[in-house]
Amino acid sequence: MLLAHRPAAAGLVAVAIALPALWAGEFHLRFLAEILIIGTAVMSLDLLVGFGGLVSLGHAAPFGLAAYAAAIASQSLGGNLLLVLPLGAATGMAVAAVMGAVILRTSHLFLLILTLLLGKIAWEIVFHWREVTGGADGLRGLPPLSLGPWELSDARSLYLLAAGLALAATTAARSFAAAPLGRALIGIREQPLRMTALGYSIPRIRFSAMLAAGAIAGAAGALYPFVNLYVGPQSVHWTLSATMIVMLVIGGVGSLWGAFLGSAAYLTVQTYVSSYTDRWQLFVGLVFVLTVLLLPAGIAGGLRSLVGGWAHGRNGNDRGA
Amino acid sequence: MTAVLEIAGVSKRFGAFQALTDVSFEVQEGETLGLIGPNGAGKTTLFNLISGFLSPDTGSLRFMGEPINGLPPARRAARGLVRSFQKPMVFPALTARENIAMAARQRAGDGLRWLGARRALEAAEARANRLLAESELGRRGGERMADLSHGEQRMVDVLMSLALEPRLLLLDEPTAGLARAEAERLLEMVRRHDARTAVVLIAHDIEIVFGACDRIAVLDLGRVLCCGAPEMVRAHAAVRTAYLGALADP
Repeated sequence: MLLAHRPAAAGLVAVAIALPALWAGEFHLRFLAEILIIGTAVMSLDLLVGFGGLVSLGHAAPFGLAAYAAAIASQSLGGNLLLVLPLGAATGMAVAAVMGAVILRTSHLFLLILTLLLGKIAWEIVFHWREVTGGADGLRGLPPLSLGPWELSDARSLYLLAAGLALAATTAARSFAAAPLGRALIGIREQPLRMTALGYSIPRIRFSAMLAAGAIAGAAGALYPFVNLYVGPQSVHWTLSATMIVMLVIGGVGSLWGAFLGSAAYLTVQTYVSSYTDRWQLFVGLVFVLTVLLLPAGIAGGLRSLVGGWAHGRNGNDRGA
Repeated sequence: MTAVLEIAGVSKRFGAFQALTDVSFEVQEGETLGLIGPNGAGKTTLFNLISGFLSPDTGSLRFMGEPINGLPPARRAARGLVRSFQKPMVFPALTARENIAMAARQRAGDGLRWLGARRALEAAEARANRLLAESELGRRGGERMADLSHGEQRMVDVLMSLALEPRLLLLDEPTAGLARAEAERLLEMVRRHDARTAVVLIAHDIEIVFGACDRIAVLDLGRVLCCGAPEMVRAHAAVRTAYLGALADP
């Protein structure tokens, strides 16, 4: 929808997606698919953090539990994409609904603590319900994803699938943010008292945002096990929730698309620096600190300023000529 | 005349401090009632009770004939009981038009819409533009609130309330910080907007209150000293002693 209004941007995105699909190898395609899937989950978190000011330390719960739901369902029913994806979105939404019901009337520190605790509860269930989730070992031996007669198990298919999901999720998130509901979400972040005085129900707005973010995170979670052919309790752990926040800050809070940049930056450091040193998180910390100091609006904000400055300079030169 | 608001025997205590004691009065449709009194008299507390941000310890509140004790603020606003705050409470990063549209969407029942967003957004924007035109701020609609002057922010703040099509509008010092001419223009706009709307106005500028209000209620130490026509209030001995002093002289 957004891209339809901006043909140049749509073309750029299409080329950016097509190029790796044409030339990248198996490893890089799976790596890019992971960036896009995690990035989609981080983008859904941006709806809560960037638009609603709701900093959740439990966003791995809808993502990870949806991953488990998809993996468990696929073991008995097969990896049909038309089953796995809606199941993941529904699971993410259901988990978000439970979390949303608990946090409806909280904010700031209490919101942070409550979401952390809810995430911990989700992790405890996954970790100890060994017969269903595989406990600490997680689940392996998943069937390949399929869509009708086509098997989607090769890296290229998974990459294109992840790219399709990222595009669809970004379009949905942007339409949410631009709609009255998204604007009301910004309103309760900026002036909750005034929003109440205008007749808005803050709990309803928060709950709706939680559902939307949960559904998107769940859809991303549904694809996650099929990229690495494994899902483990780390995908539900609160440290993944914290990592999502770090990715979001690096990418740019409130931009939506910055989530993919943050995810790419983080996972690149994790993947490449970790092959040289165990202390790769030191580099992540460095990137995080530099971002906060030099690019408070994240990489997305930096790029936007760069492009804005360039366009401004060009217009100035044109006028001067 | 129909009573839009009926307050009967309302009291409120905060710990040892008795903020309001046995407050009773009515506001009629289309009427402008001034609410005056020294600082700490309980004016804003009374607004908080009427709008539902606080609950009274005793007493009853009726709006359009229905009891509203226990009704949350958002539900009261949805019924047409609308308030403003002492400071302009606007969304500084949004444009003036979007500030008003936020209220207009809620009034139209589109505030939480996702599907069919475009129609809802366009309708609210059109409503915001009409209100901006009424206020002579039409050309400033695209400006961010943070870039508008204090007076313009006050104006937009009131326009947000008007976008809710109130039956009762509680204005808490809407003229604070405004020049006399600006304040008069703002109140004139409110009165011109819909003659049926009842307005309760808190203001410290006595001339504004006596000039713009049909009746005046005077609060002192949480009690209503008197409530009546401006001439009667001006002549009231207890009011002169407690609040007006030399200001009572025309």
